[in-house]
Amino acid sequence: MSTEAIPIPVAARQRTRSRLGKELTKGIIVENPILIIMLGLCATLACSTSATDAFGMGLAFTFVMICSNVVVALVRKITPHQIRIPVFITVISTFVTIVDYAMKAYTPLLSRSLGVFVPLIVVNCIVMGRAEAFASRNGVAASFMDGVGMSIGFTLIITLLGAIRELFGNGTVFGLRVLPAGYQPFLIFILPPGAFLVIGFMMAAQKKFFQKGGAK
Amino acid sequence: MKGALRLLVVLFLVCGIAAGSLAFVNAVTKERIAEFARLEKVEAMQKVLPQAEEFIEVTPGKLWEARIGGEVVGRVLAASTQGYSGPIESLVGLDAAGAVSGVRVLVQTETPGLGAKITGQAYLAQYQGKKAEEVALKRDDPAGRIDAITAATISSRAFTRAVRKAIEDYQKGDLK
Repeated sequence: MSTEAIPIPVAARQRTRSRLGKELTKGIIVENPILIIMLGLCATLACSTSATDAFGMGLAFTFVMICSNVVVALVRKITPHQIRIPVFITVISTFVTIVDYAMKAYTPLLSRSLGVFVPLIVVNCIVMGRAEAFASRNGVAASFMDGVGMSIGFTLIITLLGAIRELFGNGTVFGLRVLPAGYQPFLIFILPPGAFLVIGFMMAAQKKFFQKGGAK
Repeated sequence: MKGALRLLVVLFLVCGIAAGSLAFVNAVTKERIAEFARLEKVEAMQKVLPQAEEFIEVTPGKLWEARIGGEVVGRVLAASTQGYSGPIESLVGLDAAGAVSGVRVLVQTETPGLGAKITGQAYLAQYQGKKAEEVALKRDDPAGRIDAITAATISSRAFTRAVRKAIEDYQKGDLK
């Protein structure tokens, strides 16, 4: 019996591991929070006028996303169904406030340029959406992986969006001059319509290159 | 009844833990945040009146006296107005003769690339050395000596008027 019992847990563990890996990678391409789930666009569009701001927003989001997913998964069994939303909101807003204070104290310049959008992570639907759709139904490890994957997907796309807008709208990327000084910037890329244009092209590119049967 | 009690207890506990951890974070970061806000203000004042050594608040949030060793060498005024897409808050430095020694924008949400150029050195340098009556757009007032930013007349006009109003309010004694 023992000779046969050993392979089963190993296989099960491998299954768990590949499942956790899948929770991690799905957020990056297949279920990218911005390009596919299309949640949290407000912060995405508003904070992507420069690559630096966008990356800062991505980091703040990452902290909140991972922490809130883990805590929501931890308390999911003791939380009665009727009050789960208030509990999730309390958890999320606590982490957002922590990030906000920490940024004000230690990265004041970044905090000033992101302005009100850091506190607004509270109502970023990706965080709430993952808490409700994933973390409240899955274990801590899977929720952690889900949070990490979603955060990587979010940070990647918002930073790329910020870099593209900054490149065409200002001739720089991360504040470094890329295009020659005589370059006449396309202001529209920095203005709100530019955000919609660029994100539309990014969604189209994602569909073309990463979605099966989606390209036409 | 038992169910309702359970809801209460769980929510109470969650909120209690949240409040406790926020109180802790606040205690850790409070001083750094306040210190930074103070430093930022002093730095901005030194930029509009570089020769001064210390700034004494006369009217809270509106008027400061700039001194060198107890002698008043100028004043710093706060000017605020509604811009094209939000409030513009700035500091205006006046030297002992009543001419503008420097201007600095603290808060603005004007259009990037257009109205936001009011924070640029090239634009703000125009105010240096001007008397109150010269602080107006050239296109609005024959005595004006300020060039508006191309395609951002509303931002330039709002800002220029705010600077002028602050100086005139001070001269009339309204800021005391």
